[in-house]
Formats: sequence, structure tokens, C-alpha cells
Amino acid sequence: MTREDGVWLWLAMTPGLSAGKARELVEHLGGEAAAWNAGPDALERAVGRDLAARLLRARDPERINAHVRRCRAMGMTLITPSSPEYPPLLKGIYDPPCALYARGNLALLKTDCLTVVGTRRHTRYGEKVTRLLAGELASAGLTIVSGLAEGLDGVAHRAALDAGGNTIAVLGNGLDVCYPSMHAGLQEEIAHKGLLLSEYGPGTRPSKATFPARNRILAGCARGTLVTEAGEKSGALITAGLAVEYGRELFTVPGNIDSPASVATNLLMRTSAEIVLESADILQVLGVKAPLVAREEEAPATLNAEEAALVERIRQEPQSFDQLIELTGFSASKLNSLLTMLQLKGIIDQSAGRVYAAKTSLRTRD
Amino acid sequence: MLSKVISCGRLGIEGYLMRVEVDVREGLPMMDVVGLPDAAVRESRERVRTAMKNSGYVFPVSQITVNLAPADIKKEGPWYDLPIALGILAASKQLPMESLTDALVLGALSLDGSVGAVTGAMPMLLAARRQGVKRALLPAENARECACLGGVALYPIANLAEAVGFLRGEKQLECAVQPAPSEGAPEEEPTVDLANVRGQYAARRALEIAASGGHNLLLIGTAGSGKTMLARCLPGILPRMTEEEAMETTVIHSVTDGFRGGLMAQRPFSAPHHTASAAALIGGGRGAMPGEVTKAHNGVLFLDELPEYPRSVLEALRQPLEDGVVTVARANARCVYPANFQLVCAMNPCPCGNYGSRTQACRCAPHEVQRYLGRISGPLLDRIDMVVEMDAVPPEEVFSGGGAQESSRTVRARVEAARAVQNARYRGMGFYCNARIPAKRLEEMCPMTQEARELLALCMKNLHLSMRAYTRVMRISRTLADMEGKDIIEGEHIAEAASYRGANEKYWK
Repeated sequence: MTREDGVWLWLAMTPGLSAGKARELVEHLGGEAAAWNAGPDALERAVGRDLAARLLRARDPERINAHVRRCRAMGMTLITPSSPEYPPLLKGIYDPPCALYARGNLALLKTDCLTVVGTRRHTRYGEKVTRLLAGELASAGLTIVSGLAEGLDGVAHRAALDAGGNTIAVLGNGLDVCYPSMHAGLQEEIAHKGLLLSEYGPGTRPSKATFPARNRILAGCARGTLVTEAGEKSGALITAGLAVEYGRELFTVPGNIDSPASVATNLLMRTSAEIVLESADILQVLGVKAPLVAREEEAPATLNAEEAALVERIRQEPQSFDQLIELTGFSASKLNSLLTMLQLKGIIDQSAGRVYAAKTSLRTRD
Repeated sequence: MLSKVISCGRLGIEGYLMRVEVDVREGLPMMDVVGLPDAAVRESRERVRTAMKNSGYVFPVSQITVNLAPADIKKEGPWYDLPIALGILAASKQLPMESLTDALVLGALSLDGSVGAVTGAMPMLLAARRQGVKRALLPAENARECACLGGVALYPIANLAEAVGFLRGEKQLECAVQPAPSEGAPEEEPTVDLANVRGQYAARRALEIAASGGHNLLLIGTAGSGKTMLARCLPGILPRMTEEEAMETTVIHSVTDGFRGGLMAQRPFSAPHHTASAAALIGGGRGAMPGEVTKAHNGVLFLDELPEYPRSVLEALRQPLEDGVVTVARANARCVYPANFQLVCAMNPCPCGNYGSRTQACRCAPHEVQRYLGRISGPLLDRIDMVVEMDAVPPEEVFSGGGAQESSRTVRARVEAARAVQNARYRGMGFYCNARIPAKRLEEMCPMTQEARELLALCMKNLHLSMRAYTRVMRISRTLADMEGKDIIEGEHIAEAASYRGANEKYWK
């Protein structure tokens, strides 16, 4: 912990001082040390009377040191723009966080990062492509950054971990707070195998304001942002907008034009986003050389003639039970038992509304 | 002078024989009714006095005491008017005393002397028949309802003068006609027919299985997918009621709904709204009246929008689901009512109803969906054997689907065959269908081929079935084998049965 770090921490702990203002203040006064030593008049000229008073009140080395000790005791590392660990790309945005709290493998901050975000209310398709792309990109060496939210964020983290790759979760709350509670286990796992990152000090609860602010870190620390599925009002769109603003690459996956969950991603594709049909598309744009891993050919399960006919139908397009009856002419009882057998063999998957889909991965371009 | 008239009272759905004793003596003109009468009974003084005057009889200017015996049971309702009036006429010598000795009398009086109907006449007449009563005078409106009883000569009475004329022997009355004795209950067209249900092959099949094995059923589907329509089809494909069942059912509905259409042929379908209180569902209130579960006895209880029911109401369902009877205890009465029904529940997959739909966006946050599903307790889910997801078919596809569908009548024939197999197997064991096999006899009742056993183990492992799901799969596969007339459960039965637990595991992890 250097003296400069302390100065940034002071700014971070001053209530009402935005990250953008803090950066301007330091630049205006000519560096961290000058800011710390600035008199009341200089501060007042720079940020106005109210903020200056607050800054002076917060300029308490004892309090700052106590905060550092507390974070250390909780196993968190403090990173500020003057620390060598600070993500270089994040420094380039207009309002980089004055302090980042981190738990886990700090080396990940220096790797090539790709942010993968998506809607919390995803479809089966969204889950499938997120899992596939995040998994492949993680094994190609990219660090998958996401927001640990319900839905596709969680899928992306999980896929990266499952592929043995790296992942960073950027939270909108203190690192010691579990949110969403359903991802408590995932959060702990990422702390051990990846990295947890947050702008907020221990004990901060998530709120409506913290998530959009968190999104700027998501967009800012990565070279590109991939939105796999997002409906009209999805929070992932804020991240996408910021990525464009920061001049980063934006990628989306095309969806059905009648699917409400893909409305926004399809629109992004029309305006600003790069179209992704396979993970190589992203690797190429980012100039990352993928260690070419041959896609595992699944050992073909043994199917009888009826099962094979059914799988053929489902492969073409996910089908509902009724559609399958009409297409195949099987009786309801026969179809029920065939579908169970195919599920047991791991060939198809069932989702809400009794829609059945084939489990195999996306078709690659030859 | 003292006269006695035989009449009937009713406690819940049980009738009991009682006496109306009338004493007319010299003294200050007054009339008193004793024997725990409620307000409706006490008011009969005014009705009786006016009706007698308006029918041309003399209301004695004397001291009149009416006792309703036994005097320790609360008497309710207006149907003691006619016995009281006849008692007064006999005690004041306007009617021969001996004409009343062997006749049961029931009926409310209106001010002009006409006789009004009685609610729940069936159980009262049943009690009278048990006590050896041979003839009964009862309101004309109740005649058809009770005619199916047999064993008692029923004289339909339109007004007070008619009753008096008949008892004096001045007027002949036709006995109410008893319907010709028939095998079982008379045939009647079901009101909702499966032939009118488009598509929904999976749910149709599930409904047939549920009917064949007596399994409770939960339908999960997006708004407008036809859950209610399907549920309404269930009574029509259940086996026809035996005469005994029909009698029980008719008695219950005679009391609860004032049903007067003779012996019921259709199995009842009871669909309480989700704002219903626990007392309305289970029974209770003043006089511990039967609730919706009893009205659904021998039929179907349908709970639409299951998660909207208050938790306390759903928990109260557990006893009747388990025992087939419900005990209603109140300060003034304690009654045990039959409540042997098949439960069909329906629910949306999420609060907005579009979760899983291919065309409509779901507006619910994921935790909202979880909370919505979480309102249904595990113990209640345990009592539901089958969970079926309705197909989320867009409306334009619903009407394109296939040709004519099987009618309820065709399906019922198969259901009856499957039930016959079960009845034969479980004779004398204390249960009658696959849904009711006690857990400890399940293994013994469900012999399996080696292949089926292996498949079941595989399902447990790969589909993450719980131990509870295991027994449900066994029961359903037992039914599937019975539907094909097979004694041993085979692999494909297990495979199909497992598909009715899949949804359950998915929604309630």
C-alpha cells in the first residue's frame, strides 16, 4: 500500500465525489501527492465548497489505514489507479473507479478479457449459445468477465469455470455480500478459481444505482463485450452502450426475429455490433490465436429406428410435444416413452412449455 | 289435547327422526315452540297461524305448546311448518289423530297455505327409511328427488288443504313415481367432451392415465392453454358411479346445493375459487356444514391458479387427500364427512403466465418465478402423482391440428376396463386403485421385468428423481401396465411414467 493508493482511497471514501470528478481533481491538482497536500482554498476552487468540506473531513489517515486493515483482514486486496495491478484498459475510461476491492487471482487483471453478458430472463437458446461461446473462448485463453447476475451472467461464469478457463465477476455490492443468493456457491468458487472484483467496500448492499455503475467496469476492463441474448429492457444493453462509448469491440449473437428475448441483440447487430456465429469470429477480431482444439465428436449413442426418426425431427428445430405427434404420427404414450429414453441417453433436452431440443453444439462453418 | 307428528331433522348430511308434539289447552291465547328452535323455526308460529286461516281452518284461541323432540338437538330451517300445522289441527280435533300415527311429514308453509320445498330432503328420508317409516308427506318439489329412494310411499303435497284432505281420507293422492330400476346410474351425456379439445395430446393422455389409476394431477401451462377445459373433461371419463356412490353423492348435493334432480349420474366437479376460505373448502361455519371437498366426493376437486390459494387452505387439504374423509369440528357440532375426490390442479408457470411460451415474453424476474412456484408446499406436491406441462401452442396452431378426436365415451370405456383390473386385484385389501396403494405394499403390487428395473434405476440417476418421485413413477407405471392389461410392468411403462415427473423435477428443484 503506497501513499498514492491512500490518496485514491481517500477520494473513494469521500461521499458524493464521483469517480470522474476524482480523476479530474487529481489531474487538475497535478498528482496524488499534490491533491493530498492541497489546502482548503485550492480544493474549494476545484470542486466547490460542499465537496471541499467533505474532502477535508475525509482526509483522515487514521481512518483510511483502519479501512485498509479491515479489508485485509477480510481477505480483500485494494487496488487503485496507482497500483500496478490496476487493469490498464480500465484506466482509459472517463471515470475509472478510485478503488477496486478484489478477492482471488489478481494476475487475471492483466490478461485478455472479454465481457460476456446477457438477459436474466433467457431462453434455452440463449443459455446454449452463452455456455458454448463462453466455454470455447475461455479455453482459447480469454478471461471471461461478467456480472454474476441471475441468468446468462451466471451461465457465462459457469461455462468458463467448467472449461478450466479464467473468469472475473464484477459485483454491484461488497465482496462479502452474496447477491443474488442463488449464486452464493458460484461467488465463492470464483473467489478461489478466478477473481471477484467490486468498486464497493465491504458490507455495501446492492441497489438500483450500483448495477449501472458496475456495468462501466464490465465494459471498461475488457477488450470487447459479447451480448448473447437481450430483450428490450435488459441491463446488458447498458454494458453494450458503454462498450461502444469506450471504443471497445461489441459482439452479438443473432436470434430469431420473433423471439422477444433477442429483440435488442438483433437491433445491436443492425447498428453497432459485430455478428458472432462461432467463437473464432471473436478471436479473430481480438487477434487472439486460439490453440486449435478439435471439437469433441460425441460418441454416437445407439438408437433404434424410431428414436432415430424422432431425433432427426428435433435436430431440425426444437419441437413441442403436440408438433412432434403431428409430425411423426406416434401415439402419445409411445412418444412419451421415446422422449424419456432420448433424455436418458443425453441426446435431447426438455424446457418449460414442453419444448424438446437436441443437445448437440452449434454447427460450425466448414 | 296432545298430538304427535313424525318429522325429520338433519345434522350436516345425516338425517334423524324426530317428533313434533303439539298440546292445545284452555288458557290465555299464546303459542310457544320449545326444543332448541332457531329463528326460522320460531317464526313458524306466524306462518302456521296465517296459512291455517287462509286455508279455511280455525287457529285455536288457546294455549299452544309445540315441542320438537329430542329436545337437545338444535333445530334449523322452516320445514317443521307443515308438521306443526297438522299437529295443531289434530290437537284441536280438526283432523283425526290416528291418521298421523304412521306418516312422516315435512314441508315449509307459505302464508297462502302452499307447501314449499325442503333443502336436503334425501338424507332425512334415508334416515326415516332406516327407522321403518312406510309413508311420507313431503313437498311436491321434493318428490322427484326422493323418488329414487324406494321403500317409502311418497305423497307429494302442494298445499295445506291437500294434506288435510288426504289425511281425512277425503282426497286420493298419487304416490310419487319411482324410476324404473336400472343397472347403475342412468346414462347422461357429459357436459364437456374430450372430442372438443384440440391438440394437447400429452395432456389428453395424462388425463386418461389419471382417470385410470385415480391419480391426482397438476397441469402447468401458459395462460389460455386449455387447462380448465381439460380438467372439466375428467368427470366424463371417470368410470360411471355405482348405485351406492350415486346415492352418497346425491345426498350430499341435496344438502349443499339443494339438488332436486333425482339420482345424480354425472360425477361431481367442484371448482372453488381461490378466494375461498378454509372453512368453505373443508367444511364448517354454523352447523358445521360440508365444504367443497365433500361436494367433490366421488368426483373431481379442481383448484385453478393453485399458487393463489392461501397456504393455510392448501394445507387443510392434506387430511382429506390422505384419508378420504374430513372431520369438521365446531362448538355445536362435530361431523365426519366423506371427501374421497380426485384432485386436479392447474397453474401458470409464473405470475405473468408466459414463462416457457414461444411467442409471448415473460415479464417476471427469475426470483419471482421461484417465489411463485414456492408457494406450493412439498407435502402437497407429494400427494400429486402426475405433473403435466401443457403444450404452449400458439392459438393459430391449435385449430390446425388433426381430425376428429376421441370422445369422452370412448376413453371412458378404456378407463373402466383398467379400473376393473384394479378392482379385481385389490379386492379385500382396503384400497381400490393404484393411486391408493400404501407405500409398504408398493413393491409387492408392482412386479417388474429386469429391463424395467434397470431403466428405473437409470432414470433415478440421470433424471435426478427423488425417492418420492420414485414411488410416483412406480404407481403410474402400474396404471400404464393395467391400461394394457399386463400384470408385469415393462420398460416402456417406466419410460412413459418418468415423463410425468420430469416437469416436477424441473420446476421444484
